[in-house]
Amino acid sequence: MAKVKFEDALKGLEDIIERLEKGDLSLDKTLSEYENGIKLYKQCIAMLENAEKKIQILMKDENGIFRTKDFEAGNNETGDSK
Amino acid sequence: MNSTNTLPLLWNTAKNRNKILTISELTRKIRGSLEQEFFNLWVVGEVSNLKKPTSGHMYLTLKDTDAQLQAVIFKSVANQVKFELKDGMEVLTFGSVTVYESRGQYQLIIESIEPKGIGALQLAFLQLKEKLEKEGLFDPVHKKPLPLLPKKIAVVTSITGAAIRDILNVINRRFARVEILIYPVKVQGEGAAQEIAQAIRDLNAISDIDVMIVGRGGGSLEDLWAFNEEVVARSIYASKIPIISAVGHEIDVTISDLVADKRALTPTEAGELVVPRYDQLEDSLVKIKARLIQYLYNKILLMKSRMQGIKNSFSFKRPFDKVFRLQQELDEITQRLVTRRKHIVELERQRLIGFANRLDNVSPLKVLNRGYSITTNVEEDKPVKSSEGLTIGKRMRTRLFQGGFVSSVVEILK
Repeated sequence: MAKVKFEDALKGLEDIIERLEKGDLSLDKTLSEYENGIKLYKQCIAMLENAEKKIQILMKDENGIFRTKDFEAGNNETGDSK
Repeated sequence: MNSTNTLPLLWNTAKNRNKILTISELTRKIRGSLEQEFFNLWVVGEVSNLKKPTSGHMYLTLKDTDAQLQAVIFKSVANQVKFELKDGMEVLTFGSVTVYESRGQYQLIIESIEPKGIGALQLAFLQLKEKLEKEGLFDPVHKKPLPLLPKKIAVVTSITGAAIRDILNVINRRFARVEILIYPVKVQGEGAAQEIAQAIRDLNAISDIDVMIVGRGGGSLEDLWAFNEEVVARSIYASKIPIISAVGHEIDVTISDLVADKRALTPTEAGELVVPRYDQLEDSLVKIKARLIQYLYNKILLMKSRMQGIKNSFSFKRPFDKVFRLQQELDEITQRLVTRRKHIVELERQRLIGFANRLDNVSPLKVLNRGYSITTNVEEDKPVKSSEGLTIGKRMRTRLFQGGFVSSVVEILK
């Protein structure tokens, strides 16, 4: 899936609704708007679905190289992850 | 000279030539005496003739209406002065008097200085605020919107502080599926401001961060001071990633708060601002979709009434029924979304996706799939329902399930 921002997809959906409800669109246009609407809706749902929870600490060593390691509340010295 | 003359004798006693001093000796004596007498004093006066050469020392004259006093602030002390010293400012100083021997001048060596009637930090805050405000750093036009659904949130704060704990609490409370990247920094004391500013710059070099929280828990004005430093303000302003500033409690307003894209009253509020409300987002999506379906429903109704020529077609009844049934189901789901507060039930989410697929099935495109076609007038793009008004040679467009064609009328059947 292309990198679409959630708010852009949502805005796209709202715009489609607005055009559908306002203008007296042609048949062809109605169909294509509808199709695009469903596509955007699916994208939004997918973005909600695909997120995952992960908590990490970013650390910079003396050479300026970044590493991350998993963070656990109450115990911030857990094993290296990367 | 006559030894009976009393005058030279007296003169000799008063001005003993055995005690002739060099200038240096005298100056040193004066210096010793002054330094002993005028040691560790509080002195109040008005700043004038202030000079700040590149050496880093500061030279000034302290005065009142009747007298003046030369004074110097050496670099090591000058670096600690948080506010900007200016001519005309009333100040309270602490220091000792000494003599600058090569010029034969006495002067006050200032060891600490603060504005009279207002705290030094308070003044420094007001001065920086005024300066940055003039430069436009607080202007709302520079404020970036926060993302609705961030995937990755960076947090610049102390790893052991209250702020990170509060933010993580919000995430757990909301069952949030977000990535949190903690960039641990010193949030108070020497070098804290530089660390915070560097962290903001570093994080801007990482591509996939959607939003950043910069802050710390509550503390005294001194504890929160790093967030009032210019270096932090500048790095927040330069950040391409939207920044939420969350410093201390509600009553503490810092320069960082003013420059940031959004100020959170507390770290907890910062978490609430940034962690998505999945239930609300889903809710609004479902509502939007219901409207989309409603519109299609209306359109199909309209088409149905228009295409009376194909009166008894079973195919045109079916999508109508399906849409109706779909709406009912949507109503149920919406109802459930309202009553459900915290948990996001996986099953329902799957159903939502199923709806999207089913919606495809009721599309007029599916009717076309069964071999029907829609013929429209090329110019008007309206379905042709009657042969009335057609002329030989007129161009028509026909939409099929896959693609379509343009044709011209060769014969008209009444």
